[in-house]
Amino acid sequence: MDFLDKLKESVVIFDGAFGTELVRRGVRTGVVPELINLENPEAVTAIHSDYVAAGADVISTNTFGANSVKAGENSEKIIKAAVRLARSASNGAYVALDLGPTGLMSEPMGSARFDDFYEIYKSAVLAGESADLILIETMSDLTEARAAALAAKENSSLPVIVSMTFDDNMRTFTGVSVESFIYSMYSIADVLGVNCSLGPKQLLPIVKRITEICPKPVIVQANAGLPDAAGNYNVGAEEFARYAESFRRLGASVIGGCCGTTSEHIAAIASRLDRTLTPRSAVVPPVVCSASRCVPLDGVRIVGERINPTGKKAVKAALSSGDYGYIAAQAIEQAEAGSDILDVNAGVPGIDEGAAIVKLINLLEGVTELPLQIDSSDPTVLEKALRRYNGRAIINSVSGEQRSLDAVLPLVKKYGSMVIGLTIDENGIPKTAESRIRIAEKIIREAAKYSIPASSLIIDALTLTAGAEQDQAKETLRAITEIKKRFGVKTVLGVSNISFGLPRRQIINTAFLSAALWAGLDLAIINPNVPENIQCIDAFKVLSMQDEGAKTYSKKYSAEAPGAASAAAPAEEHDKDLAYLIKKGLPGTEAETEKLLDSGVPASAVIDEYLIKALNDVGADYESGKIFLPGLIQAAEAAKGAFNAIKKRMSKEGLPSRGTIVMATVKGDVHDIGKNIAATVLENYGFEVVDLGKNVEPESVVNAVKASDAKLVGLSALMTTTVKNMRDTIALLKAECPGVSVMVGGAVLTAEYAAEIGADYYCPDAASDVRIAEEIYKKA
Amino acid sequence: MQIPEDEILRYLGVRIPDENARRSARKAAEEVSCAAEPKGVYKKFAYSDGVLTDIDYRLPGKDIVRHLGGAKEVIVMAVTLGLKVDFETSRLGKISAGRAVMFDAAASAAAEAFADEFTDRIAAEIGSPVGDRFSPGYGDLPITVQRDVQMMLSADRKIGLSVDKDYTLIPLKSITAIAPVGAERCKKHDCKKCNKTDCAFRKE
Repeated sequence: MDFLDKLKESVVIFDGAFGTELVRRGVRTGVVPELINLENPEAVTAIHSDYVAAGADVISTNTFGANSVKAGENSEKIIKAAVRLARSASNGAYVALDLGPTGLMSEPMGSARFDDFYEIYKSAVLAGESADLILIETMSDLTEARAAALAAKENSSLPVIVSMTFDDNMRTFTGVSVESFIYSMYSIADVLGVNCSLGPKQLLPIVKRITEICPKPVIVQANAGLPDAAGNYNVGAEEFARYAESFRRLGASVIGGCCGTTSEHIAAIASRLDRTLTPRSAVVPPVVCSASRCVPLDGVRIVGERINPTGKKAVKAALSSGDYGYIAAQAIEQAEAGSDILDVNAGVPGIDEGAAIVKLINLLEGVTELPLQIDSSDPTVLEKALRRYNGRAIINSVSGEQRSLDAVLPLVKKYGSMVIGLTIDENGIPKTAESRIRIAEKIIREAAKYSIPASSLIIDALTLTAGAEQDQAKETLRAITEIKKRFGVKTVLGVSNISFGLPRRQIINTAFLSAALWAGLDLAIINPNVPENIQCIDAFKVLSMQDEGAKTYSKKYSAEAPGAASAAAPAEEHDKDLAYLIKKGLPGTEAETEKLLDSGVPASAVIDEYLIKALNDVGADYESGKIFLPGLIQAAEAAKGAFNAIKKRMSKEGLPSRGTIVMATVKGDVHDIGKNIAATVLENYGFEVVDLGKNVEPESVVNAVKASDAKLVGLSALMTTTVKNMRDTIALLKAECPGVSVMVGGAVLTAEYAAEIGADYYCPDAASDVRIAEEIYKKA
Repeated sequence: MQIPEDEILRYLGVRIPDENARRSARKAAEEVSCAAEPKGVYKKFAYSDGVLTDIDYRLPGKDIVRHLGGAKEVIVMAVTLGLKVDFETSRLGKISAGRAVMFDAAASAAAEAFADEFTDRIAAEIGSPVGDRFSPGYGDLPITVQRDVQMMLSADRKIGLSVDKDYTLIPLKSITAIAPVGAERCKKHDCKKCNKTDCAFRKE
């Protein structure tokens, strides 16, 4: 019988720990314990046989650490042997191909990419294809768990179990919550659950939560208690079996053991456990999540709209150049302004939108926990993003056009996402509420064909421009109310389009937002940095009883007197001149610069006589040891205020740049703090910096140099092992971009080493880059 | 975990700190204490002549063998401050390079402080002193040993310690080390013992 059919009939029992049994039998293993599959196969089959005799319905192959990262070139051989050994001892029991973590860390915190994990697991799955099912277990990193599950699903037809390991704070080591795990993987895996981490007692609350929310069967494999100082696990077989019964009552239907459990533990479960399935009816609610934050759509939620190149020059420039720093700052700003979700759009003509959105997702996961709304009109871009995204995203969007439904709904199904349904179809934008309701109905009906429930849909009743089609605002509001009432779906609007072409747009925006909220709007796509938008929603939450007792409102607004923010700068700074403020790294440089410009000093003079002079003094003080790194950075940051003021005045003709420098931390290296300092300092000396971030492919550096026409590239590497990638990057630059100079820095480098790998300049500290940049651009 | 202010300032290259620098260092130390989730794991191995005999593992290089001397047992250990610290460094980096640098230096000091604390805890647990730590990448002990240490300790599973393809430890503020059992730990770090004479942080 197929494993999943068996699971519909009764509770299934897995085996227990392998390592514990090896230790108990005194079998010696090395750093790669799975090598015994080749060197001592009898020991392996003996353990399997004992678990079968104990009553396990499923035995797991001895391949936990047999992936190619940990076991190296022997990986395939070890896995093939393991499946063979398990099968020979199985006596009819199911054989699960056991795949543990690689020990790598995913981007953006580590350097391993989704595709790296995918390939590693794909090889393991192919090597173990003669198993009956695949057990991906002890996962901590959601990227790895998802890549492994997709590799298993796409390269075999076997059932796939995914089990993560949670600490008692209900999170994995990488911060993944139980909810994020379930909601981002329920559509990919056949069975989900928890193993390792803790003893059965400590796992109870985690199992309870999983069984409450998981729409798929649940697996639990606890450790035999918490280890004592000597590393021994002390929960005995009978006690362990009692907990197994508790897991079953909570709704778990696949039960086995992890660290410290033996064939006695499994025998006790097999003889005592009631095999009756506990009925459960968990369904996935309207909810979105990142790996670490879950946002239920159970009230009004704010979707930040700023990460979109349409009509936003700076975002467009960032996407085109590959320097995403501006977008990261936008994300943080929107999060702090109160966004619940961030819309992400990377659609700029002439760039690879799919690659760009994946890069953006990577970047955003490193600076914000907010869940994302993936915004693209191209289904192939959507799929790339959804594959990579660690969470349950909102797809923006599908429309009522059949072509769109056929392309996008399969993605919603596969990745388990939510989706925005635009009430447009082949006939364009309908002009009445009724016709929009009809399209909403069609989208809901089509989704149902894929078993996508209405709870995964968010309908957009369309904001039209009041300046052009004044009668449409009321139709939109009516459609929202009616769609919610009839279909029980969530609703969304991009609000600000209402005021396009009208003066004082925010007046109209606020009024429309308020009306839409009262009509039943759930998701408002707005600019959260506009206080009126947030205030409108905060007020609505009070008046609609969502903010009970106006607690949140009172806390937020009682402390804040109107106009308080503008009086923040201390008065004493006004009698200091700009050069002084910069040298001391003090605030107020922006205002001081404006004063100078107002008094008729030309911008070029402000730059040369105040900014650069002050920064040069600071640089000299730093080099002579009068001030130290923090002082240097503070001065550079103070100078930024002055440059910002000048930029604002000169937006038409643009700031005279002293030259462009492409900066990157090389491929494989994620230590970027030194490079960030250098970039900050250079930027605030008036250079244009294209900062490509960390773990950057050599080709990306070359492309950025070609696109920006930079004459200087700054590369950083901290590890001896990544200097080789620095060497490769330099070689490619020299071949592809003749005339470009390269400066390098990083802890392992010396002047000699820098010369040896082909660099033109070596930067021992943060001030030396500026000297080099000045030299290069003076020559030019 | 006490994060020593002087160490933070040393990592920042501040040789003559003023009150402003000290205040920033204290603030960064507080921020790190909030973000850090320090965890450690260790195993004791029988040792003889460059080999961890329980698992038949030969330590590569001469320096580690010299360091361990005649110890009969050694501790292999790993500690980490957790991934939240990395996330915060990266987030701060997008807001202010200055704050990110202070935070990063405080986190480095915290990792060292926690490693000391954990070493002393091991000594208490095994009832015998544990000597100075020696880490992969020191002297001629290759950095590739990071993966072996991770596997010996199941450090990914036990404390969430990853080792990247190029052997970077992630979370970044993590330390792996090997230390002799029986020798006393030197409480004052002695830069003279190290052969990296061009180190920016070397104390005179």
